[in-house]
Amino acid sequence: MSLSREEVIHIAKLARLELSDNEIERYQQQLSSILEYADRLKELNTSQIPPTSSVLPARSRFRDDVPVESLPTDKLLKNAPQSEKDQFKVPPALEGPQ
Amino acid sequence: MTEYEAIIGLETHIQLNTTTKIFCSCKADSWFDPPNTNICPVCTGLPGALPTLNKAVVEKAVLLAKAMHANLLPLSYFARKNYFYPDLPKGYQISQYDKPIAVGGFLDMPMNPANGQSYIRHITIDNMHLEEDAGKTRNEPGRRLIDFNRCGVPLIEMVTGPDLRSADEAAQYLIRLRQLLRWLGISEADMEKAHLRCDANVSIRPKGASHLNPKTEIKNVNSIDAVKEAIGKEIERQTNEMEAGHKIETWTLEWDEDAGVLRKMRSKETEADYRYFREPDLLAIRMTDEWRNAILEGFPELPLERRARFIEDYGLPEYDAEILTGERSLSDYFETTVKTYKGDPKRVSNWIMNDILRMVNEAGKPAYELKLTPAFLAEIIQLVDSGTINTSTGKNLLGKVETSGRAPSKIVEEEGLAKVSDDSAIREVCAKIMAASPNETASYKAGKVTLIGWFVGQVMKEMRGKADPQIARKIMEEMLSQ
Amino acid sequence: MNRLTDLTVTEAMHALNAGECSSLELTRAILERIDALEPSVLAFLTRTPELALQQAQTADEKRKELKRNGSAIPRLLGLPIAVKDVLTVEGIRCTCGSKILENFVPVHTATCVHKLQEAGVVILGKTNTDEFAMGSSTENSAYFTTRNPWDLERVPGGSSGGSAAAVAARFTPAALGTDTGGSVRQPASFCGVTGIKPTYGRVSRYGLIAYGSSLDSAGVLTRTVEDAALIFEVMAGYDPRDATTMDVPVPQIQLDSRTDLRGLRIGVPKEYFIKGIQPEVEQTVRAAIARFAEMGAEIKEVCLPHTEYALPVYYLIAPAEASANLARYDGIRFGLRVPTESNIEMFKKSRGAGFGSEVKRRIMLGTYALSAGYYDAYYGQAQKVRTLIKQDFEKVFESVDMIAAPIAPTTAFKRGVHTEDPLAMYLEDVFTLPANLAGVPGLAFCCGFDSQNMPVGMQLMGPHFKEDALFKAGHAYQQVTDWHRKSPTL
Repeated sequence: MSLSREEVIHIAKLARLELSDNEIERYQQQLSSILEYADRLKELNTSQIPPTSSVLPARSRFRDDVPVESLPTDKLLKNAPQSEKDQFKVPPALEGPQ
Repeated sequence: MTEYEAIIGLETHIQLNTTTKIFCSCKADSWFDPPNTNICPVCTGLPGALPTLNKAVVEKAVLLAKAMHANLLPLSYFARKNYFYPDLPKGYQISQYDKPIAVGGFLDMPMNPANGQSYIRHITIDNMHLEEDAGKTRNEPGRRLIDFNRCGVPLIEMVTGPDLRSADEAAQYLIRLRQLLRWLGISEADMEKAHLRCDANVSIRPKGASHLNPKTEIKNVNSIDAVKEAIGKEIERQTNEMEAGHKIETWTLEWDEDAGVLRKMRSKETEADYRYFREPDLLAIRMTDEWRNAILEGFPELPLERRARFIEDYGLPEYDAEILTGERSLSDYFETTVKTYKGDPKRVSNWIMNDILRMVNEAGKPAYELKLTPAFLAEIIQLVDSGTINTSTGKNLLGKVETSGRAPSKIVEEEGLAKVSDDSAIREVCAKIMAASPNETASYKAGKVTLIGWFVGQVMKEMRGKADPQIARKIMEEMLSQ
Repeated sequence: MNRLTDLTVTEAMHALNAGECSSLELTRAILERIDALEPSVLAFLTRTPELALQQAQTADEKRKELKRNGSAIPRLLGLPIAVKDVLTVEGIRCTCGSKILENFVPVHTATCVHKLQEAGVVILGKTNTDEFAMGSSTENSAYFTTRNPWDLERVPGGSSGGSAAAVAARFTPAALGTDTGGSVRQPASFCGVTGIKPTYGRVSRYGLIAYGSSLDSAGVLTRTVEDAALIFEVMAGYDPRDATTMDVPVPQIQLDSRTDLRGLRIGVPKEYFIKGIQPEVEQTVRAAIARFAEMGAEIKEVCLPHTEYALPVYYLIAPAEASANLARYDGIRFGLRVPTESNIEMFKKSRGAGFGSEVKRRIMLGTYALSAGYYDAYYGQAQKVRTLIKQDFEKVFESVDMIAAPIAPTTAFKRGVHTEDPLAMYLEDVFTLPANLAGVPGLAFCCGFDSQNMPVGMQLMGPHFKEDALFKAGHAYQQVTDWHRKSPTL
């Protein structure tokens, strides 16, 4: 499976990764070769095989509806690059100029 | 000019009223809390945190599924819905995709248009699925501030088919949904507090056609009125466009409440690719028959069912039945009173609609919290029926019982509130009043017969309301005409 | 008595409890050795010597007090350990080997670490790792590549390379690691130490910074099987904060000096002895299997027919899960933020600058495998083939008690050998990936050396939750061999 340059750019956009032209080219090659290798999975007939949703036996796991003390606000904000009034600060615009 | 019909589908997000969030033990309700005080590593997506499912969330979903006649899947899975947004801490929302908690279902909604025939609108439900809410963004000049208190609050998303045909119907659906959610006790369903959120999909087509035209999506409508107004405006716009021969584009529109207009939102170049896959950190929800039956034990009669039953079995008018099934506590109160009273349900209905409803609203508490129990109300009505007290005494008794919590008959006895029908006692008082009011007596005799009301009022006052007013009037008239 | 830094976990606990040395003395000796030799090995990303000394002092005082009262002494009281830098410890910087978390300080401690803290351990620091545990050599760490103590030009393996090197270099008697595709077993093999990858669901992942959620397994590296069993017992167990942990009791592992393995059936999968394996690796592993036969075990050839598909399956599932797990690194609440005018730019630039190339590669691979139109062919198909791989193991375990196999096709390779070709690097993992896909436990230990004096490791894999059988077999092997007693000269 060979990836086009546009596809690589599209995936990088979906994944919010800024790539240099160099990187786009390199990844295009590398991802293509990995995906080609992965194509061998098509050899196998899996029409009757269920996907693995868990390697462990089926069971249920729930939590009771009982509250627990919250993390203190200052602990949450400790690692924040930018904060203001106990909230995380981010740029105003969602997208940059198009 | 072609006649068009509107095709409307609604996507609602329902905030469940569990104590804790869906995937962590933070409180679910933080409406009044300062920002970022109701958070933990899980709901803020800190590295290394893992979700754990709140059992109560599933239980409430089962109640809604039953109420909407939906099919609970024996195995349902959570899925990651992947997208980036500042208020979405993990960069994905844990939701459900291919196997949601329930599929299918319907609501048969009675419609009573002001000018026209009553009818039932059959609304199909596509699916309902569980998901977590995101955080809140506050826009400030030059920046956005993010608060994660709301992150992780449990939501049920319920999607209807394109079955609604007017803005009125859409509003009515939300009203019925809100009523149902409160009836089942699974959500406060207050749209202003975002407990119930709604997006509308709107298209139009020539009446009688069977195809579906491109639809627009309306967002940011925060009240039932706004939903109605926005949909109405969009139907109008689409009609004008179609009449002018233009095609409808699949825009996403945002409702501007202040301006009362719909604005086109930034168009997304392509459909978002959410890359759903099964959530590996959570197990499948196994809905066994056993568990479902345990949850549904004691499942109540639903408001629309009860409304029909009140009309059918109690012979109540639709107006009464609607009010008496508006809210569950009052509805149960009414029915218990009827069963205790054993008389004409309409009589009970009147007392409830006029007096109990007001009492409950003023006190701001549900009917089951009243000290004036259904049994006590039934007693009061019986006391009035039997002539022991008159109606106005009965009305006063309501307050007295509520304040003291004591049985009506006891209060009547202690305060001597029993109606005086005894002729002689009334005669005595009438004579007294006549003697003390020579001017009024003269006026009456001169022909101002409307003064009878005043006279009776005086007698009632003198007898502290205990006289039977009909008898007092008869006697007073008799004596005045002598 | 041996040099303090040579003490195994078992020996150290014995010495501490017998009063032969104090935790402070042990910790000091270890810290001195680290000071002297760490510049050559580069096992640690963050060292916490002051904290360690404090904790050691506290441990000594506590031991005195408990002895006075006649109370039970926590099993690991005063034992220094190191922790791989993808497991959170509150208050100690956790980088995951990435620039994007260069200054991140967690506010909660991983459950498995917490259990060890309750048992009294002393934390020496956080060890180096391939970035976000993605790699097989520690060369993907954004900071530096750890050196293999046996040959400083070679890699220690990965991604728990720092932990493996630290144990081999006697910088710590035990170091926690994580194994998603072989990241405990392979570095154990390259560094000549013992490592356990428990059954998936045996040890809590709460606090294990996620890479492949359905594959990640926290484990430990030590010098002996006996040590690994002890640490395993303490760190394992159901955790209500991790829904994927299994509520099964953690066995008390009784190891004795018996070397009679009659009745034990060991399967040798033919698919693991393929062309391309370094001949000396094959010879050494086969010799070790013969040793098991000498101890009485029955050796049978078995088939795991879908082994060759494990690599493509893993390299679709793990990156897919990773692409979502790493989406939270957006520069908002923690981590690197490149200041910009818009949020989307902020995400792109911060992630572009903060993630290394292997991480970006896997994120894109995973994003692609899940994307519209490709899900069925890639991720969907991979999950189905995974079922076939899992069924292979289940079938084999009907006729044998455990499987013996090599861990890597080669001994430790030189730094830089695979960095240009990611696929070649991925091929290093062929023998370890299947266990993660099936969720089965794997015990790794040294079974010899090649002609360059580089360690060769082998692994025993067993049915779910049967770690105790693996420990018993591995311990018996270490009773009749002394590979585990060899140490590199630094």
